[in-house]
Parts: sequence; C-alpha cells; structure tokens
Amino acid sequence: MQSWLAPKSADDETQLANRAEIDSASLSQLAALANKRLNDKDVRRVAKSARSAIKNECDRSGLVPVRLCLASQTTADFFIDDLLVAGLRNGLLLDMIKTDYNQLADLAFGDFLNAPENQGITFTFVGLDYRQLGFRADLLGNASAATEEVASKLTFVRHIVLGIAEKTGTACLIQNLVPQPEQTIASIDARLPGSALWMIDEFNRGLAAFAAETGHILFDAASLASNCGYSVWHDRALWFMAKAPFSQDVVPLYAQRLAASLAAAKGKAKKVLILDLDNTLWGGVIGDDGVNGIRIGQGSAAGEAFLDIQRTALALKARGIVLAVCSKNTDEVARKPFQEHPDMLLKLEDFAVFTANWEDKASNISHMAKTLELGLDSFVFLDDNPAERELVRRTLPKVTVPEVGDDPATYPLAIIEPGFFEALAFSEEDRARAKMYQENAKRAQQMEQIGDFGAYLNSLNMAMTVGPVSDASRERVVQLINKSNQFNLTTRRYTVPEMLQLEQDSSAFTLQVRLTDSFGDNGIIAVVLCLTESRDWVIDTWLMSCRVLKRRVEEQMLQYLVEQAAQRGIERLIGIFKPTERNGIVVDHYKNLGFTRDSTSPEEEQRWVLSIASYQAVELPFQVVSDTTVPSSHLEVTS
Amino acid sequence: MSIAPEDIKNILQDILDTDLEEFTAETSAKDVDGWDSLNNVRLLLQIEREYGVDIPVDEIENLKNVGDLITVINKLVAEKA
Repeated sequence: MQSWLAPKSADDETQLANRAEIDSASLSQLAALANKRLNDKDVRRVAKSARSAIKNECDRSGLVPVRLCLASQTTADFFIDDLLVAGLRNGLLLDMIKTDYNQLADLAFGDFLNAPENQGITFTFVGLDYRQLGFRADLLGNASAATEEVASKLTFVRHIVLGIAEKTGTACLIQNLVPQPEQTIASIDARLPGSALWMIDEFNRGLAAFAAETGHILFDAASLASNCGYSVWHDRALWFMAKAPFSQDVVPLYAQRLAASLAAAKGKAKKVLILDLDNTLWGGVIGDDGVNGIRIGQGSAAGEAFLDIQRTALALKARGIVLAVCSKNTDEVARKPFQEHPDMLLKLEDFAVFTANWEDKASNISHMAKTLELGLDSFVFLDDNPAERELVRRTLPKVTVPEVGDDPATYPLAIIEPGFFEALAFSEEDRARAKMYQENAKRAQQMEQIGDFGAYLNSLNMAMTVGPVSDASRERVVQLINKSNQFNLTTRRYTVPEMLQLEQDSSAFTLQVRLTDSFGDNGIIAVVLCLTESRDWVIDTWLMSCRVLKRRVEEQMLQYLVEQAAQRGIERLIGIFKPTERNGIVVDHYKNLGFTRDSTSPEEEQRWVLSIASYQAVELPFQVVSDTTVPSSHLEVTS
Repeated sequence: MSIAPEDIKNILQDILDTDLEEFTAETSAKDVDGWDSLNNVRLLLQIEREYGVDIPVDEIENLKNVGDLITVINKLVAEKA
C-alpha cells in the first residue's frame, strides 16, 4: 500500500529498534524516518517521539505547526499515529485534539471548543460516516422522499460544520461518505432513488457543493476508497468491534492523503515535477539507442507504458504543476526525441527548465530551485535509477523522491496516489501557470538583450490593475495567501470565510493587484491587507508572487497605498515583518521603501513606520488601472 | 505449531511499546497497564496478521484471558491447515 516510500536502511532499523534513541530523536530525524516504509510498530514509536517533541517545543526544523481538532463519527484512534507520521512527511507538525467519538453536535453546540485548552485550532476534521448518519432505509423507489431525506442529512451536516467553524473561526476539512460493497445489491442501485448507493451519491454531491460555496475543504474519502476497492477498504469485524472506519491495511494511504490535504491547505502541496529521461520518459538510452531505437508510443507494451507517464505529466501540467527535466545526458542529444520522435506527447515547450548535463543531479536540482524561485520542499523527483534517487534523498532531504521499481507501468500511480499534488481549488492562474513560466524565460532573454534595466522595464509596457478583494478574485487571493512563503512579510494564512469577513470589515483595507505586460497576463500577483488602528494602517499582510520580483511592483503598490490611506485620513503606515526560514528576500523590504524601524519592536515581529506626509512620489514604469470586475457583494459596507 | 503465552506477550509488548513482566495463560487485560479496549483490538488485528486467521466476532466476546485467546488461535490455525 505504500510502495512509493523508500525501504528502511540498516541505520534506520538500528535507530528504530533502540527505544531510548528514538525517544530522543530530533524532528528532522523523525521526518526522515517518516519518508521510509515503516511498519505499525515503527509508526507508533515515531509518533510517540514526535508527540513528546511537540510538547517540549523543541526546534521545529522547518515543519509547519497545525493544531488539528479531530471530530469523527467513527473511532479516530486507529489512524492518529499514522496521521502524525504522514504529517511529518508532508512538512507538518500535527498537534491533535481528540474529541469523543460520534459527538459532532456536542462539539458544534456544546462547550468543548470554548475551553481554554482547546483554542488555537488550525483546522477541524469532520469525519462523516454513512453508518452513523442514520439514513432511512424505507424509501426505495420514492424519489421525492429520498431527495428530502438526503437534504435533511445535508442540513444537519451544514449546521454542524458552520457551528464548529463559528467556534473555532477556521475552516473544516469534511470527509464525505464511503459506500460499502454489500450496499450494491443490484446494478440498478446507482440510479434507484432511496437505495443506499443513491443516497450516498446524492449526499456527496451536495456536500461538495456546500464545501465549494462556503470555502470549507472537502476530503474525498469516497474516491480514495473506490480506488482501493470498497471490499479492501472496509473491515466489517473491525467496525462492529471498535467502530473503526476502515481496515488497518488502508490506514497508511488514508493518513498520507489526509496529511496531503492539510499540507495543501497550508500551502505545502508540491508544485514541481522533475523528470529523468532515459527509462523514465522513454524506454532505452537515447545516447546509445538513438531516436529510432528508443521505445515510446503505440506498438509495444513498454512504449505504451512510457507514453502513459508522459500523459500523466501533461495532466499535471494542465493543473498548474511545473514540469522540469533533469537528465544525465548531452543537452543536444537529450532534446532530440522531443524534436524528432513523432510519438512523443511531451514537447520541449512543456518544460519550464530543461537540464541535461553530466553534473550530479542534486546540484542540478538545487540550481533549479534557484531558477524557479521555489523551495526544494515543493519538488517531486521521478527517476528510474535507484542510485540517483538515493543521492537526491541523501543530499536534498526536502525533495520528495517516490520509490519506483523497474516497471514503468507503475510510475504514474507512484506520483499520483500519495496525493503530492493535492489541490483545494482550481483557478484561472493554475491553467495559465506553465505559460507564465515560459513568458518569464522570454522576459529574461529580452533583459539580456536590452541591458539597461530602466529601459527594459519601460519596454515591458506594464499595466497594474488594483482593487479590493472581490468575489472574482477571492479564490486566487486566498490561494496566494496560503502558499506564498518567500515574498511574504508575515506569512499569515487566511481561509475563504476569514477573507469574506475582512472584506466586510469597514476597518480593514484589502488590495489585490494584477499585472499585465507585453508578454501576457500575469494574473493576480500581489495582496495587501491593512487593518486600521486609530490613524494608522497596520499592514497585516503584504505578499507578492516571486515571478514579478525586480519589476518595481512593490514601489508602485506603496504609492497606491499611500494615496488610498491619505484619502481616508490615515497618517501612518505600519509595516509588520515577521522573519521566517523562507522569507529572507524581504528582510529589507520596508527599509528599501523608506520605512523606519520602530526600535522598540521585537526582532520576531518588527514594526516599520512610514508617515504619509513625508512620502515622496517617484516616477514608475506602470500604468495603474482600477479593477472593474464585479466587486464583492458587500462593497458598499466597506467604502 | 502451538502458540505459547510468550508469543502473545511479544506482540503485546510491541503494541504497548514496553517490556512486560509476568505473563501466563491466566493473565488478563486488567493485569496489564495500558491493555485497554483499543490496544486489545490492535492485539487481535496483529494476531490475525501474524497467524493469517480471522477471529470471528462472536469468539472475541468470550475471551477472558490469554489462555482463552491461545485456544481460539490454535483452533483457527488447525482448521486452516
């Protein structure tokens, strides 16, 4: 079930066998173990050690802390250790609050979530289960009554989720219903109103719509279970004995997918797929076999299997995943199949970076991270060669390297099944991302040709569209807020419901910025959130997409902010800077913009001050336009 | 093959992640720290895995001590053979 994890090494075995050693392991050591194929006992040991590490507030080694409230209609105890370990694997440090089993209503409307020890929750997991929702079984063939029954269950769940969200002030992760194999009595069941299968189907559809509408997160257990097979998923004896939701055999995969969803919600989903070439994208070695000798395309089982890997890569690209090549080859030779072989699905222009040389792959991948301005923890590296995988795992432990065997037929599942590329939403920008990376490359080329930076910026004909966060922009804004780590002054995350609240708050000023230039539309590339404190605007959030760095965007944004602040009688802008491991590039952001450090503010939450009266406007290479798309429905309240 | 209390002890030690002292056929869950209902289920699951048997739900209710458990497993293993 977890063949994509690397097997344990002899050192791992020794470490895991020694109770004292594992208990004192650091979080980065535990995270490294979490990337190995562990058995139940190992998982318990790693989880126990991680739990005490969390309590002792030791060095978090770059892991993102998430306080997760587990509200389940079934027994969660059987997967929490695995979930904690899967969290480490996905860059999260999970601190879990367990609630009594099947007490959703109590949680939503009782006092549990008001207690001081249950504050600071990041997400609440709402684990629904068909067997606990009590659907009526006497409505077979009665379409209107069955529809009503589903609607009433959805209303119940809606109240629960909204109740919990109101108490915690954060989003819920809602798990949908998994059918049981014994529910399909006949082939007609799926379209027979009132049958269990029909009810589940209708309910899940309604639940997905509710989640999309309210910004809560859907955890699609139904699809995961159907991929596994419902008969494999369920363990009936275990259900009767312990109300465990599924078989112990599926726990590792379930935990991985759940952790991947949480990671995506925290902006830690993978963004880049790096592909090897020989025996990964085609069969054979291009340097030895030549364009006509490699196996790719219809006609042979291997050729079709490699074609399917290419198809999988393209499907990821369509969702905004950046593709890159890292191959030990001569560049010119490595490019040949893409240019000359008629059966290749992938073309050179599908890749944002194409690296074919004789350097070691770890150095190449490090360099790629710099070129793409993305963190190594957002990379997945697929390579058929175990030595290359091992080198990258050892040298760059943050890169995810799925374990694969020799059979190319298994590769697509190895990169998809673990949910590395989990996404909570799909926006216009996702569709266009690959193109934007290419445009970036072209801009870099033009820059090389023009030489003079000022002339270059002028030649870009940049237009900046500014406006408040609105219905049309909210999804993308929240996505940016949750995944920007580098050009992000405070790394504060907001969910869709929280953003809606800010938009309606008359003391808050929200700003989203789009940028177009002569090479195309960059989409929304920057967000600022200001909170009014008497005559100050405190800049709670300022983030920018790294692909528009060095374009003077931040200067133009400041100019706009100053204008807006002055119109509202604001006297000072207060920039907040919270240093993290990732946001080193903005260390001088406020200083460069002319702010002065409030020397009494602490290092970990610096305050930088700019008085509006002392600001002097400069000439900038932008045309500034107001956003004319449909504003959020509550804009009249804001202005 | 016949199963001894020692075999059950080893599995339980792994689950509780602790070393157990005296452990005989007469030992029952209440004699062992941490052998709660949840860990009992874990124990049964691990036994099922290791011996390749399915313990029927109605047998589980009648188990009073380690000896009873061993009797059931021995019976199931023999039936399988």
